[in-house]
Amino acid sequence: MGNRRFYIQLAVILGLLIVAPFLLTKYYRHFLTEILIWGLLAMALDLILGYTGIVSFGHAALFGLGAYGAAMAIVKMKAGLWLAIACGLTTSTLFAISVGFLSIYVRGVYFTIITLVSAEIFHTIMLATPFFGGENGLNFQVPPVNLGFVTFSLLNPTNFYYLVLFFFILSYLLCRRVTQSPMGKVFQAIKDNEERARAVGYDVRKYKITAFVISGLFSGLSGALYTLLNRYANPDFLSFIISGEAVIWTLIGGMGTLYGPVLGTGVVMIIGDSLSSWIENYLIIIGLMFIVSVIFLPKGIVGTIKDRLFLKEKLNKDWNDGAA
Amino acid sequence: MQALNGLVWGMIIALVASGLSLIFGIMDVVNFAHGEFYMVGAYLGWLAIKLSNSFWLGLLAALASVALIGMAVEILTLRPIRGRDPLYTLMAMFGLSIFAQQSILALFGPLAKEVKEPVAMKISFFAFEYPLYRLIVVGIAFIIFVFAWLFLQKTKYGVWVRATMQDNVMASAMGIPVKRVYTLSFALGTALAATSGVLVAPIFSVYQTMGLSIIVSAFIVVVIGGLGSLQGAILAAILIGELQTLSSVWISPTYARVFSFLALIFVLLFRPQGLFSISKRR
Repeated sequence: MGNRRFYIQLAVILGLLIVAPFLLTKYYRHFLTEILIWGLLAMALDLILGYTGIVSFGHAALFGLGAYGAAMAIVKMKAGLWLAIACGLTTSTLFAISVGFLSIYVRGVYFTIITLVSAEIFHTIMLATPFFGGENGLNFQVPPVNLGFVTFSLLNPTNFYYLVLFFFILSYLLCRRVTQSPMGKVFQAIKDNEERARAVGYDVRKYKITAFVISGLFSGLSGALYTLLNRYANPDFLSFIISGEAVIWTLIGGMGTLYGPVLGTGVVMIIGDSLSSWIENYLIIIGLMFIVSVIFLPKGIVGTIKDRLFLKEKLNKDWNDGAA
Repeated sequence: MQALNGLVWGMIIALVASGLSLIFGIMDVVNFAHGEFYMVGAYLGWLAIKLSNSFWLGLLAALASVALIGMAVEILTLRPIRGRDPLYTLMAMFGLSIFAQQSILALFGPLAKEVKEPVAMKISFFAFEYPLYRLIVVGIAFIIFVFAWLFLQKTKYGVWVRATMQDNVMASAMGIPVKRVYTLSFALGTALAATSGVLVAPIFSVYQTMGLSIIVSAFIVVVIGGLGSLQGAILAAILIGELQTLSSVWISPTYARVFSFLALIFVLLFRPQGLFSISKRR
């Protein structure tokens, strides 16, 4: 894809996202903000799942620690917004570094189980420790945004939406930059064949840790934004349901595309939201949908559409070749 | 007292974990929904006990129906994605887990169900009384393991299973109906979980997130015992059961859980093949 075409597409989508709040009711403005935040988590997961081939089933820990880091900074230190976000990022990055180091020793299914179990450790600790709010979690007031020359309140959902949009676009561009950098190419080489990447002379361990830490950074950002949006942090943020959902969103959208997982998040959340107004136990259908899409859409929405387009182009070409 | 509780809890985990281990060893499937079979087993057991008024009949009915459900699940969801990246089976089972929990919630409602102990007698030791039923649970679990072992070692199907576990391509070339082995093993594994769910019902109550509370322990046990090893799973389960219950004498049960999680991470770091597995080619 040409760079110019990419920037035009990006500008169109960005334009749509900028005008979106004016077209939506208050409820859907909040909903769209949530989609962007969860989409950011799925995108961060895609960096390791789709690009490096590491299966993490503990991204809820990175998300939740980002959330708790930000919430604790506000509750205990009366931190401002930027400091709170920075604290969230630091916590999740530190955790990502330590789990990333385990990935040196443990591979495959075992690593997946480690991510799951370490997320459960923090889930349990948050549940049981009064210092972190215990079962009730933490409630707080959101500090206003201070841009130096102007200050505005985040209680206004539209302001919050633009804050999230800013971080979302920034993260997307950064992630895209990472995947297109030489380092990103090494990530993909590791996904394709770890042994080969090692044999060619890359320090696979270093790259795997780096990928995990970058992913942890953006997951933490998404957690921090989520806790600020809802003005509370809850142990449920670390539950393995969230880890699983993040993987599902990524799969349904299409791994290894960055925007696919965001799309997947949006699709699943919109379906869930519209089902929930019709049926009480809509999660039954969501569960079924997960199973069916895993079986029939292995490449996700984006991958399947790409295949179709590609196939059509190829058939056309064959047809023309045959005619000529 | 706590040591006995640890043994009971260990045996309960062992039943769940051995099924998990069996399924992983044979099919290479990390069954995330395994806890759900335990939970569904407990609910069906509760229902069957209520209808039949007999604990043991209820146990059998729950076990048989979960085995059938397990077969259906294997044929409908796992068979079509066999051979794909393990990530897909993991996620299919995750979807199943949500589906099962929510269906049970819709069918049985959010209230926890109680099951009466079929044997109310208490045995008195030196200074304290202990419910006989819990000891019976240990006995039943033990008998099941003996049968499972005999089954794997002495029967034709057991030979098939072990052959498939070693090398499924070769097994299939030798004329072993590998697909059927998969389906039956999955059914067997889930039935073990269901048995555990029914047995535990009188000790704790039956609720729809009970699967979640055991699955992580079961994973720990399976990894510590060595994936795919039955004996390892049982030994590790008793170890973890004791660790969780004994340490909860001094620290709160939640931290006791954290303790066992840390144990897992250390085992993985220093003996990734598991504590009890002697050698397995991979």
